[in-house]
Amino acid sequence: MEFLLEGFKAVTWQQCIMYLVGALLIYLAIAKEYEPSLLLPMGFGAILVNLPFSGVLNYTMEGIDGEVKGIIQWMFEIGIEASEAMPLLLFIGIGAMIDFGPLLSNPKMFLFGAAAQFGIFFVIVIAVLLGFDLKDAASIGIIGAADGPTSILVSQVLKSQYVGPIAVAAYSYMALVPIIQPAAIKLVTTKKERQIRMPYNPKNVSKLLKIVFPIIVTVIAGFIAPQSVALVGFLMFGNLLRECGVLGSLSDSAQNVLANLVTLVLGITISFSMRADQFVKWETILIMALGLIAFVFDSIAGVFFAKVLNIFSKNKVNPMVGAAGISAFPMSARVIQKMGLEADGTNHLLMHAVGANVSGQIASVLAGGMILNLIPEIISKLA
Amino acid sequence: MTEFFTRFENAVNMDYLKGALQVMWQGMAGIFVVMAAISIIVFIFTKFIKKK
Repeated sequence: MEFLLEGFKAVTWQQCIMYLVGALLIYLAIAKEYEPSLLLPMGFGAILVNLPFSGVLNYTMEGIDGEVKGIIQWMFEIGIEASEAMPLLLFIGIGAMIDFGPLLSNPKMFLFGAAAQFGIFFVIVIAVLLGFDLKDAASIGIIGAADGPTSILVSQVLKSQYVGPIAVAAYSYMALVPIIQPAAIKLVTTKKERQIRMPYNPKNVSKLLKIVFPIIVTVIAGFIAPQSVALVGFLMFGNLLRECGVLGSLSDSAQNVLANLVTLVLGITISFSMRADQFVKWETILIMALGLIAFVFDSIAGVFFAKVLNIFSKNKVNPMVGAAGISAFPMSARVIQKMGLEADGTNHLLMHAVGANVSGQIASVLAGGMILNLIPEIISKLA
Repeated sequence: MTEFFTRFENAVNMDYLKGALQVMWQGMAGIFVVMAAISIIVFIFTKFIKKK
């Protein structure tokens, strides 16, 4: 009967920590409703992959030739490692969900999305100063894209050894945007600045522009940063399905069935990178801290960019709108709307913030593409 | 644990730092160029369609 105790005897303290991490993620998902669609599968998966001799990972059996495939390891190897299919397919769903109308009616907002990616690059420098090599530093920096699939894809393509902590940090901080952003914004704005009003004059965006837009973005991004084509292209393909007007059922499927299905599978699959030997490291704590810094500096850079624009512009921009340029859609726009109302009960910034926020969605995938373009080139020069 | 602290002893690898700074300015410049280009095209497209 010795075999009944084998599992208990084999468990390590690192695995016990991972059970606690899994339980914490499940708690945050259920009790706090922090990104439950991803944190719950990741939390449960963290427990699954850390059970001694877990059957969800590849294993060998005495007396049986060859390796038996474990389902989670197989899904990771096929769906993420081999092709990055899962995060990319999720982008079709995300693209189909986004209405770029508020952005297209005010093209100036495109620049806010660009400015609010600063935290990514700032953290790459900090991570290098802390001793991470360039590809790990870039993978950690991309947490600041505030976009889970982009973080997973970039860290996986760059073969970072920290995919698990990066995914957990990206999704956790996205869920914590309502806590992180107000603190960061208040740090660099006065109440008077937060009270700046921005009249909203909705302009009609033609159907033709909405259809042509995803094609334009894909082509421009493709020519300037070819590595971003997979990310930008799938995002824009989803948006084209939405806007073309003749594929309503496909658009609905992308927004609901596809997005839900991939999210469900992606969450539990990414838990493969949460094995104790990969996750329980001092570096994990550093990565969580650096991820937070990336989110804070994204927000601060967006605010400062708006302030700089205000020096040259007749129509003042509320600096908080700049912070909505991070990709966490739509949480960030909602945060800005709430803060605007707190500063002045009649100041509605929602539509401006939504414009900046969807711009951030494009800019964050571009940032991922830029990193994939630049990092291998620089590493090959250093070699 | 020792491995963790060794990281700080070797912390500032000047080549990596130069690389990171290069990624920073080229990355930010690249994103601004793409976003500005898209913005200008959208602006022109909107004007052109209105005139039509």
